[in-house]
Amino acid sequence: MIFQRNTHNNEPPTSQGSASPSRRSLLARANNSNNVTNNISNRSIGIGAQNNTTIQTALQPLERVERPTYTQPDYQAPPRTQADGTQHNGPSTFERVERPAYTRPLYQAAPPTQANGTRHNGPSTFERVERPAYTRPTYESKPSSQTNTTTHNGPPPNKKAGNQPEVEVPPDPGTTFRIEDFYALATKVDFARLHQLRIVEWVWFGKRVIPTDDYHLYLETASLPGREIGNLSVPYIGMNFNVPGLASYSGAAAYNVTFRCDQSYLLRDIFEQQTRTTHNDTDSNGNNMTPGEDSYLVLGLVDKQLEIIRNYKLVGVRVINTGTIQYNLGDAGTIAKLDVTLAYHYWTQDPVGKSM
Amino acid sequence: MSSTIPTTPYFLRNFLSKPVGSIPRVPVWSITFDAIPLDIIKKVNDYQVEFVKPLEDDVLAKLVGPILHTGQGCLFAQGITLPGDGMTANFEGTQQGGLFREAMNQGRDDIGKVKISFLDTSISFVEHVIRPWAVVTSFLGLVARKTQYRTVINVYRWGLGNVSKTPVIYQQWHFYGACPVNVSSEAIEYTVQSGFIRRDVDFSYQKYKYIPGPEGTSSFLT
Repeated sequence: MIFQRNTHNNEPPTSQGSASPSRRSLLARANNSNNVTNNISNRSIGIGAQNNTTIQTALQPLERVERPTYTQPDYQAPPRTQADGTQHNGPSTFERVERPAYTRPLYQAAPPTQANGTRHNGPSTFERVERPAYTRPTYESKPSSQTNTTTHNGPPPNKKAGNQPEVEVPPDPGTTFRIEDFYALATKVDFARLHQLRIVEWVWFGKRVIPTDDYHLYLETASLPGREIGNLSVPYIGMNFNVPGLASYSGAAAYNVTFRCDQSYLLRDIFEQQTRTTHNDTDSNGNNMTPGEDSYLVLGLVDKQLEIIRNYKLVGVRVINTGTIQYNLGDAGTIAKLDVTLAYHYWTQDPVGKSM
Repeated sequence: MSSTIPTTPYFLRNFLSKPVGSIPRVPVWSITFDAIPLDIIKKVNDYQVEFVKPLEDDVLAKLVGPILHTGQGCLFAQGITLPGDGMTANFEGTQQGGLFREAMNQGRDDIGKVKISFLDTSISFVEHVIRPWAVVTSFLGLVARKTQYRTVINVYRWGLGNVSKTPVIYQQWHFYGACPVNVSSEAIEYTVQSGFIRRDVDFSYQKYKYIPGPEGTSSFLT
């Protein structure tokens, strides 16, 4: 006897004999297919044909039965008894209640003790302060005037001259602020170093001050000369407008140069002789002429290959103070220094490093 | 009367940053003499025995020559004081209660003097040119003479409105009939020299003219 399992409508199992005609035809087709399957299985597992009926019963397929749509009944919770004896139908204590979003309170550090013993409630150094998001500004170049009198903000156009190849104009790098930009620029243009200064030439009234250029290497410190524009204050309604005036050469009256002192005191002797040539108090004689363009000191700035890239020519230079040397018999061997003070009229600069 | 509150941006925008409001570079000036009367300077010993002999003619010619005087003006000059002008205004009439008396002109002030400071060098321009010129002038008596002992002093002030132009003369004074009438004294001491020697000379003149620069004024207003 074959039973059909019906779990949805809870109907009792029915025998095949009482099944409807349509169901019987379905079962017959199913039995035919199951018999083939079971025969193959029996051959493989070696079970005898007499057990086909039992196996066929166990492998009977389940019939799909459509079940009705489930509708959840309206549940009405019974009134709950409160602590004060009353009853209410309000939300259960387990009902989910929406809470406001959690906001992390700002950390307020304890007032630190000041040096004078007082305490203050100012912001702690550890307090996080929200900063506005950084927005990189976009650099907009000033419109450049073109030959056709129009203006544009883009890079200058490439110019073609005859058969000359078109020159590619690099784009305007704009303004950069990132560390990567600084690093890229620094590796490209490098930095000037404080030791990249040399004495190129030193002439006084047409003659070299130091006969051998080797002694120029004993220069230890010098400075690039300065130049300044005077300031004129023009007041208006209590405020001063700073108007540019005339040029002057700051430090021209006292330009300090330091040399290492050689053992033979040649440099010291040169500087002493120049001051005595200017005026010798022993015979009240001396060169009364103002040092002109034939008296100059050329300072050269060198690059990493020790090539001179800029020259500074101090015109009318002369020694005005040989300086003093302080000796110390207990010293361990410090090199003596010559602090010489020079004076000049003005300086000129040669950017291409040509000989002046 | 202005109805606008004065503000500093307006002052900067419309005046100070314009050519008309550019501040002159005061030290940029020069003076020239039309002709220094060398003929009378050479004859100073004819008037005063103290001047035994002036400088040689060629030296004197160089001293007042084009290099030192007309190339870039008189290179000995270190400063000049331009004379002022004015008149005497007195209040005249009968005092009537609370009314003001009217100011009346009592006459124009006397003509002033041009003071020029000269740099005293080893070959002193003042001692070799100005002093004998002043001595001869004193003998000639500042009156009209056939002998020409007066000259014209020209004072120029240079300026520029903007960087695209070359400096132009924007002010010039011409003092006609000028001659030295006073040479300052000089103190020579053993103290340490702290500066150069300046010799001040007063020049008398008969009239003067002030002329704006030939193209300076227009360029400063445009």
